[in-house]
Amino acid sequence: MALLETIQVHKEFGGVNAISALDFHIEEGEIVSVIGPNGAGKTTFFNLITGMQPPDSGEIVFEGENIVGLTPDVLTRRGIARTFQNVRLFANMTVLENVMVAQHCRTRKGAFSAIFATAAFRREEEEIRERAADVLSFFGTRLIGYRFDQPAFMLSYANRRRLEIARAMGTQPRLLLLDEPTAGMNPRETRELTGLIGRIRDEKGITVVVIEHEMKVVRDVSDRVVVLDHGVQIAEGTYEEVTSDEGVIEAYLGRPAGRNE
Amino acid sequence: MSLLKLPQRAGFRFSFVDSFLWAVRIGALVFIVVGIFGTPGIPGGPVGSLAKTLSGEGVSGEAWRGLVVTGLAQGSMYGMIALGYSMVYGVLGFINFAHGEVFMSGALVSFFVADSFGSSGFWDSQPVLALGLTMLVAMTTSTIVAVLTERIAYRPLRGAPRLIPLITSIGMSFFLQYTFRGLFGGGFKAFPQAPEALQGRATIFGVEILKTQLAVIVVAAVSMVVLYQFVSRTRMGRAMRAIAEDREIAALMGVNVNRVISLTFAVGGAMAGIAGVLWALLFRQVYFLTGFLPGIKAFTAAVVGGIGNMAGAYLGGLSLGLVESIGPLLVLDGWGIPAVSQLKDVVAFSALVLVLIYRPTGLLGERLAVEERG
Amino acid sequence: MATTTVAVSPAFDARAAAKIGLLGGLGYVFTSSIGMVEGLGEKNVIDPVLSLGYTILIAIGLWAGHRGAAVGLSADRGSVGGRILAGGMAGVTGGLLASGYLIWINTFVVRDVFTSISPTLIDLLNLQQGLGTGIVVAIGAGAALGMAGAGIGLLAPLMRRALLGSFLWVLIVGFLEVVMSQILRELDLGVVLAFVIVGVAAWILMRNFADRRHVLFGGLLGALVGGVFIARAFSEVNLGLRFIPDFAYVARVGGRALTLPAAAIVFVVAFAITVLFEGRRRALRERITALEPAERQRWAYGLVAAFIGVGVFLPMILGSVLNELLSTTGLFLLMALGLNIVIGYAGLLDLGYVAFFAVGAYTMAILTSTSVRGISLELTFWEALPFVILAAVIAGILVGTPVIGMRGDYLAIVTLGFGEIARILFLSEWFTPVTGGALGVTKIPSIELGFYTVAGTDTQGILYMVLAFVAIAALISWRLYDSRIGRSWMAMREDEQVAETMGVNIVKAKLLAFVMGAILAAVGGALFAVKFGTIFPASFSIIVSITVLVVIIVGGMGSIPGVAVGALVMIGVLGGRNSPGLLREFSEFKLLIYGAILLYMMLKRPEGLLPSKQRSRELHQAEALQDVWLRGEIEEEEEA
Repeated sequence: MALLETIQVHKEFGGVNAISALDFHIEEGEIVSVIGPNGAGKTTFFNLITGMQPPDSGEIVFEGENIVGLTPDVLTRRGIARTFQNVRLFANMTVLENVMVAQHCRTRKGAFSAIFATAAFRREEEEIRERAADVLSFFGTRLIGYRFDQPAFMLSYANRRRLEIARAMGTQPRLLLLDEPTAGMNPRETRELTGLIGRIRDEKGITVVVIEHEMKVVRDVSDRVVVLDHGVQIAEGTYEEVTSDEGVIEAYLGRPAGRNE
Repeated sequence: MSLLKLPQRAGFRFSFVDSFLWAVRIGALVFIVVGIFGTPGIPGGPVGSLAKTLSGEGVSGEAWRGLVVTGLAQGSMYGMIALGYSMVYGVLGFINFAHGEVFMSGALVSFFVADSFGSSGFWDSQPVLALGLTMLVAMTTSTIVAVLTERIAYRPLRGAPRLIPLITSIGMSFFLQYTFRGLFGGGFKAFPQAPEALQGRATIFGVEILKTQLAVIVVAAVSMVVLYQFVSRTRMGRAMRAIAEDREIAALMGVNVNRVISLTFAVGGAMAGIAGVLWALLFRQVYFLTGFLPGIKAFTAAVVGGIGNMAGAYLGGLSLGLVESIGPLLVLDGWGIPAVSQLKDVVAFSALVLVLIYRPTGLLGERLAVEERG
Repeated sequence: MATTTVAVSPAFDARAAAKIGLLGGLGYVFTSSIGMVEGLGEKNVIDPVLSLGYTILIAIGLWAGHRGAAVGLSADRGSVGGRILAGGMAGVTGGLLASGYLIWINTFVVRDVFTSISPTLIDLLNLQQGLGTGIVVAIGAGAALGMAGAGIGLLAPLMRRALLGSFLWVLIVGFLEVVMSQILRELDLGVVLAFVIVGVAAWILMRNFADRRHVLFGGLLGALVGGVFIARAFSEVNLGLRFIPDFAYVARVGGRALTLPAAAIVFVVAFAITVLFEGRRRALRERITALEPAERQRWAYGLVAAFIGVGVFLPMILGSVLNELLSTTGLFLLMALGLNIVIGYAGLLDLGYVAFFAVGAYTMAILTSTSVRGISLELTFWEALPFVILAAVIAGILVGTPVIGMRGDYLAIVTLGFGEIARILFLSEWFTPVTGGALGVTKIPSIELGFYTVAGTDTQGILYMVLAFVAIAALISWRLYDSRIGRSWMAMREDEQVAETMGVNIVKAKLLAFVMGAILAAVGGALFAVKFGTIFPASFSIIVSITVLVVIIVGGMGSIPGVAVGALVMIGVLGGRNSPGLLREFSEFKLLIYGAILLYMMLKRPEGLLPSKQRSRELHQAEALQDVWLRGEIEEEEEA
């Protein structure tokens, strides 16, 4: 059974189809890249899966259950996490706090135990802190040590992207949606991150969907590639299959002259 | 857009908030309908005030018409003040709490002019000229106060987190109130009675109404039309709308943003100044807190009409005026609540809450009160 | 004037200096015209020579000189003469404007319009002589003050601080006449002994048992209890310090003022202390910054312990006036701590906060009062308190739910509407059978503690009650801040949508913030009801909401010590609604000053006096980045 499946999902904005009749699926443990030209509906696709926007019609099935209409926080608890194309960190909270917030749905101590600082509460706080430090150590030495207490806005651009991924991983997801994780990174950082995406799957067992423009990254990480154009899936398959597909080349480069209808 | 459109996000899953809001929506509707018409089938149930009038027992039709006119006059003034809120919100995106004080400043300063005209006889001998001069003084004062406020308090805060200018404007509001109290004293100032030409009643379409109320409605309508022409026809008006769309792009297109923002405050101030004189004519007393409640009400009106929309501000003002004038009698009286006229502010603010629950964009608005999602 | 400027230096910007001078002149005109100079003219700070009104004018002159010198002479900072001249020029310009104003008010009778421009004011500004003197003084004093202001700018930083600081101390000692006299008169051996005992005990405990919290807190508690007994035992032995206030203050029309010799002593002592202890102060500060986090934590505990000690023993020596003042401050602090959760933590600008205060007060009143027979259950305070909290929870949910989805400024106006709705309903004839309408609810009983009865008129007892609840509220705020809930609020304040995708249930988080805020306000309201024994709808106007807002903004949103400082400064010193603060003379201008402070804080120091870390980061990102860069903790972008 697929971990996530969308069935005939539609979404339009003011009469323009952002997503139409999309059938998408991803198996447990897969890494799937979603590519397509600007405005292809990739980010909308993420927004629909994470419950930030409702689809106009169709079903989104996660772990065998239709999740349409659930709010983002519920979906996060069920195991879907994401990053954003334009990094959206809690800029004035520290690096550690950013990842600690992400465990909100994995923890449950409420106002009362916090006010009375019960033993269980303190234990849980300690666990939250340890898990956050653990997630951050996944990125080598870049986000640990004195960085724990630095506010997020102080980080370099690449580290902000890394922290955002760490924060998403902090929610302990089963499915991680990465929206252009290498955008704005230099080649070395991009290479590093490519390896990291693989490690997220291999070491943490998290299924990953990546929106990516950098074709080298797509080639290196993906088990399967899905191509969207104007909200329609125009191709699907391995990197090699997709990149040799005529429809895909057309979508990116436009129709060759003479074949205009 | 239908008023009763199902909340989009919910699908078939109703959250706590959704159910709560639906309960409020339905409850309010039932409350209003029963208040108006009563429950004719059930003996001993509430008898609607309108039902009473129709059966000849309750308030006379004449009284209802009086309330409607009062509401329209009141609403016209709300509409004029609301304009300032609406335009500033459109251009800068924050609630200028001090706008009520801009209105008050015009009313208070114009008192001294009107008072001297009143005692010299000029008031009655040349009513049009005297009123015109009084309004001119009020407009000038309010405009100066509005523009200075912007220059001193709001301009340095462009681009600050959005609650900061809002809090600043609350501070400005108090500062202005008590500055005016310090300058002109804290007591009520008794505005001279309207010029003789405007005393008494006139009959229009078979309805007898106070001439002052009529004057208020007419002056407000004329000012609104003039302003509308200004904004839709002139270069400055276009620039204003451009900035409301996107300030940065407008600046790139060569619009002098600072000048246009000052102008926005000036225009809003001028309208508030006129409203100040009208208010003083109608209620015949002004003091340094005169601006507070009308200010909040006018903002309410701007929201009800759809913020950022000029016609909406006027329409919202009229609706709010009507609602708070006839609402208490129409809805609350039917439920047997005593002394309903005390509750007109409750009705007005409840209307605000209900409008935001039923239709967050306001009557004519496009901007959302609810955070846009995604 | 243009010729002078060129002669001094080409870099002399006469227009800039004159502009500052004009601003100063406007300050003179403004404070005079709104009645401040006259209203505060009665209050003498130093007996025959200096009234508060004049102090304000002098401060304006000094400021103009200081600023004028700074902006008028940017390139030529070295030249002493040039700076003094620039300051003087600013002063003279201001003086000229002031003279114009003087001529105007002396020539015409403008009082019919400008009610504050009275003959008394004119006499004050003319120094009781004619217009001529007034003009000469305005220009002369303007010049002198301007030059003095410029001169202050030229002093070495230490001297400048010592000079201004000492003068400030004179003003403070002058203002604090009530507090000083009261404490020095009443000071008894018991309290002093108790302070010493608790202090020594705390010191020993901190040094030896800092890591064993149970021993630490148990020991502190024991010391406190012992201290209370000792304080009671020796409370009759007055230390006989009343000669100090008798010497230092003299009774005058506008209240008691500092005598000239006393002022001189205070000035000299403050000056000497500042200069002599400069080195130690700096060393101390360095030691504090060098402390390890654990060590710092221990110091923080020590500070908390000190506050508790002060809280326990201070009410014993303050006397009823000051106890009353502090309980009012405490009530506002209680509300401010609640609003701090709503605004400071969760970022929801609630302007109808007074509604929760009113709900608490009315619930307490209606459940306990013996005046509304048939409706009141005539419960005791403690029996009614759970219902107060329950009512607050319900009110919080009722107000919170409709506004969940609303954006900040709409939320502000809707909550403001809710606040007004509550007040009008409590006032209305409709609710009169329950709420008593405009007459309110009377005969609210005292608080029974079992061993003691706290009546509303017992200022000391009420203060202890208020302080106890404030301590609880502070503890709640502090614990919540550093918890999962607190983090979810912070995240929501930063970016609601992202917080939601990170698993925060926005509805729950917002409602919880509203409810927590509502509970604290309602408990404040309940205490308020007991304190006055009677409540009227008039006590719950929008001004209360605004006042509480001002308190947390001045103090620092999101920061508990900040809120406390805000309450002390705003309510304790300036006074709350209907209750005078220490500066009773300012009551008249309280709201004007509130407004001015709000404006100033928003424009110059939006993070407040004692900001929370997160908040100051948010408002000063650039500076924070610079700091870290200087410490070498920022990374360069990695190369390819």
